[in-house]
Amino acid sequence: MNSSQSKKIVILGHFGVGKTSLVRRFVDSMFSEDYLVTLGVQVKKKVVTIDDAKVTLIIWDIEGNSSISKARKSYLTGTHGFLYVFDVTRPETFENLEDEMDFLANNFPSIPVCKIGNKSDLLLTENAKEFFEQEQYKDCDFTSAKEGNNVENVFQKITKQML
Amino acid sequence: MSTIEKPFLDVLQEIIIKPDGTIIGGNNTIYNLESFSNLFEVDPFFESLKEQFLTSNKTFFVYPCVNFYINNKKCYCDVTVKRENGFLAFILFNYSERYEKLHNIESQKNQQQLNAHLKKIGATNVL
Ligand SMILES: Nc1nc2c(ncn2[C@@H]2O[C@H](COP(=O)(O)OP(=O)(O)OP(=O)(O)O)[C@@H](O)[C@H]2O)c(=O)[nH]1
Ligand SMILES: [Mg+2]
Repeated sequence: MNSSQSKKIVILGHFGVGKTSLVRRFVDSMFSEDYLVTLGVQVKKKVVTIDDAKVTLIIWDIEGNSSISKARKSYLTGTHGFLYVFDVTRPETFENLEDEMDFLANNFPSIPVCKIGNKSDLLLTENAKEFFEQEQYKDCDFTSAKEGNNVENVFQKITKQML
Repeated sequence: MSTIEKPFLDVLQEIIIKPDGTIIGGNNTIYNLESFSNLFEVDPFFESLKEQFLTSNKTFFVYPCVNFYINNKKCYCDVTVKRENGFLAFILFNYSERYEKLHNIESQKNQQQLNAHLKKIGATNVL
């Protein structure tokens, strides 16, 4: 395996779901309650080690879009993996999940995607937790950028899928 | 030349590199890159394009509204890249002023929506 490979990841999802917060948590080990809207794209990087191999993750944290089709094409070009983030407390951010996955499958076939339900710290009731046990959410991962839960794992998971 | 004929001079930076990233020319209008020898080390945005230049046969790339934080200075730039024989020309347009205004408008709109939502779920305890 090439030990100095680098991989581009694009973070997708509606506005305010926690894309920037996940990247901050992963890259800088920080979280802020303040909401600083992303305009355009901010690119960050972090080197991870998977099975003794170093991989440079170059993460494109892009502005929120209610549909991937509205994202600027040049941001998505050349990506090796996608993280699709939704907010577990805002149905409008995951109601179109199937359509969004179809869009990716049609336009970026063979590029791995991880679906992430963020803000899991706000899933307070049993009802809410059971809701995400339904079949259509089975292959989603749940994170809290606020508390750091599972954040490292989802980046590890997408990295393995990209290799 | 009158000022009206050079409206872009203050906002435009040209950076010429070899395909391996080595900076071989340009100016320092927006960012002073004198301390860098390789553009791919300046910001991960540039580094992430490296592979694209190697694998794509396109000669022209456009990336609007890239957030840069270089030498402790934040700017929103539109980036255009032109591939020539043996070198790449980057042109950065510093549109920070325009994008800051847009950012304020977007921020207010999104923050209001998110705050209203948080208030609502605070009352009903999520879903
Ligand atoms: N409780 C909680 N709040 C979070 C979490 N992640 C993000 N937030 C908050 O949600 C708001 C939006 O977070 P961002 O990370 O800016 O969201 P974004 O998806 O990058 O938003 P855009 O850039 O506008 O698309 C901020 O106020 C964060 O503090 C989380 O895991 N739990
Ligand atoms: Mg953001």
